[in-house]
Amino acid sequence: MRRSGLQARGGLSLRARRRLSAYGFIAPSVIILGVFLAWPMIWSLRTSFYDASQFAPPTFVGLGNYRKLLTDATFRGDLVNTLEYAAVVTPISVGLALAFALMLNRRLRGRSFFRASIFLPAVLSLGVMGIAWDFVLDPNIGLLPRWLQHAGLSLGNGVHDPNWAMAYVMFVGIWKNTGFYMVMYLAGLGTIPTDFYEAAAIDGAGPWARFRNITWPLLSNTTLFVFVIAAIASLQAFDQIFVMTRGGPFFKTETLVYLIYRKGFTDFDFGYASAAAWVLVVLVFAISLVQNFYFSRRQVKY
Amino acid sequence: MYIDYLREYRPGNSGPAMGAVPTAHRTWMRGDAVDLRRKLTVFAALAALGTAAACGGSGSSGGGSGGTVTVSFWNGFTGGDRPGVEHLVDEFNKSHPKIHVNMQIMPWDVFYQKLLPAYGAGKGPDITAMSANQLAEYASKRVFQPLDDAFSSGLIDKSKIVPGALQAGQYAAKQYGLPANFTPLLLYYNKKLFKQAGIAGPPANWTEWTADLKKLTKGKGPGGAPAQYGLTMGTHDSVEGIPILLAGQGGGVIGSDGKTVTLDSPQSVQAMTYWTDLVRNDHVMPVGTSGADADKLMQAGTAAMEVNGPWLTSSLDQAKIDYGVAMVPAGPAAQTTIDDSVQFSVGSRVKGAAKKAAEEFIAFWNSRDSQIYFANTTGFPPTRTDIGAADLKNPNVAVFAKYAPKAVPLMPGQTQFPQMQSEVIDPTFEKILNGKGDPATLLKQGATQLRSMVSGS
Repeated sequence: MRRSGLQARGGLSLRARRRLSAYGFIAPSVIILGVFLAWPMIWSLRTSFYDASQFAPPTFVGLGNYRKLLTDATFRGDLVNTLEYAAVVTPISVGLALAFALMLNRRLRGRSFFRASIFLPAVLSLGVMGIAWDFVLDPNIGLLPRWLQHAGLSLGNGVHDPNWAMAYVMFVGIWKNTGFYMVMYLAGLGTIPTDFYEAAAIDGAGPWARFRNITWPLLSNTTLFVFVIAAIASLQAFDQIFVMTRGGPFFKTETLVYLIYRKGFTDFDFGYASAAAWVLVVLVFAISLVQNFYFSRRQVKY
Repeated sequence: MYIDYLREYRPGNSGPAMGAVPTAHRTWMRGDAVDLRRKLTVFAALAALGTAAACGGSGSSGGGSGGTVTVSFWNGFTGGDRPGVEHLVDEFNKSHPKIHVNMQIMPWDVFYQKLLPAYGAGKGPDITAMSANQLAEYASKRVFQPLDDAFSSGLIDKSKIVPGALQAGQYAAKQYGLPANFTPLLLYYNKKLFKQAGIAGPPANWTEWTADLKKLTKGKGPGGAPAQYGLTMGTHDSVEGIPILLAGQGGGVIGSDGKTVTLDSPQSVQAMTYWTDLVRNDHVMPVGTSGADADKLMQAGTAAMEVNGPWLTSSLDQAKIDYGVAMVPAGPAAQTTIDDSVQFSVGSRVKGAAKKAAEEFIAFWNSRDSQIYFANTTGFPPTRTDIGAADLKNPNVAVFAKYAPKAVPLMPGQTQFPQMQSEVIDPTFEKILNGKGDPATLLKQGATQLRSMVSGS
């Protein structure tokens, strides 16, 4: 007896075979995400309820680590620093990215050069760039303060100045990410049909009206995406801070990620570090949710 | 992550449950990797590979074929002292055919991150070399074992070792560490800048020091700061310089008993007030520099003096700075300085022939010939008292050796040393030097924090 043509040789239906191969294709990603993402997160949630110091067997302390976080002045300071960093860096880097994208979306001489120059920092290591900027901005032996000196300008005590250190690491953070967001905006601009602009021009719309009524609304999907990843990136600020200030002077530039690093990998207080990490996870999640809600109400479908 | 085998040493706990160890090891790597996750997954993978690679051949101490004992030795001597360290290990292996020291050199941060997980997995090194500042914590948790029997068995003659170098390895009156190196922090001065300012030699006391600092701080640099500073010292990520100033006045951070917090003593406040005035009003020292920043200023000839250890000599030589080394000038109460030491320790599970071999290696390291060689190649002063200036090629090394007996530990026997330093001492000094409050109030706050962290018993 012959089987139907749709029946697989091994006795499996076509449907089952398809399902199997689909699972086969996603398996590598699922395994990698599961082992290196989901499982560590679950495990760190568990660790956050333990006093886990590496020296002794972990002991269950319930919400002890979280309670300790509440009374820790350094943690509160770091939380404020992190939010302050995100509140400044996110809008500025996204705003600059949009401005650059609009400028460089036009035909102008050397367009590729400018695009590449602005994008370049995004492909460089932030750690290495932190070292380079630290040299350039050093108040005593740096290039920039020397040059500015001739113009009568002062950068103060540079990254060692408690009032200005945060501004320095913010600057490097913005410089690093703007190019990447610009490329996303350029891609977004590329998807806007040019006939909209032609029609608007015929109707006599000026540049601002065209931006306000065509470009901005049609970029809303891009803006949502860029804002969410920019906010997450800013909440995770670490690299340039580690290189330039080590969180100092006296914790003025210490962010939550830096605290997690310091507690986890220099003090080996894994329980406490995990608790801080989960506070950050919840924070990132909440902020992303709010952004998603805010932008989805303004989304334009076309 | 925890060290299963420690259970062996706790009364009433039966069985090290070795079967559970690999799991424990893995859980550590999965532990708390949420937001640093990308870095950490890479790190975890590397650590796994590294541990596997590192321990593949060496872990089995005491075993070995043909009567040879293999002992593993981990350290972080990645800097200029590396060739000297490698040479001494080679020499030891050649002259001791029955012992093989299998050395792993890695950056210090990797060393500290790997050490406990490796011990937990039963694959830790037999011998380690680590900062004396970290030693107390590991000793208190019995990661290491006392090595006093190296004296009683006659391997090491206690009377020939610099007393401070022995003290730096003690915890709870037992010798958990034996010196790998020991040095005082001394005053480097730029001879050319001194000459320009018409100063004949290094200052001997605070009065001279203050006058010299004011003379050497001059010019207009960026932002109204001086173009040249009299002094530079790291105030974070650095060896500690300011506590030396406090001690000169009779103050300090923690007393020699390891219990009494002296950070807010009247003498400490007096010294801090004096130096804060010099820094804030006379700008004799830049504020907020790390140890590396301070070294850069000295290399650039932008600072005339720095308090630091012998590792600075090679970079100053490279920068072609004409410098001298002298004892830190005497304060009103005392002429003293702080030490910096790396100590050998032996894992608490190392027994029998392996322990004997480890101690033999440490004894060889601290022998007269080895120490003369080590001092002449690395610039560290010898750990022994019977090596004179005649044996030392470099006159600066002789100066470090001469003042080694004057050096005292910053915070002896503190199991929370790193946290005390990074969370209390450094931020407190930086706040004061930035004018964020008056010295008395801020030192009092810092001292209160320290009292809750001090190892009391």
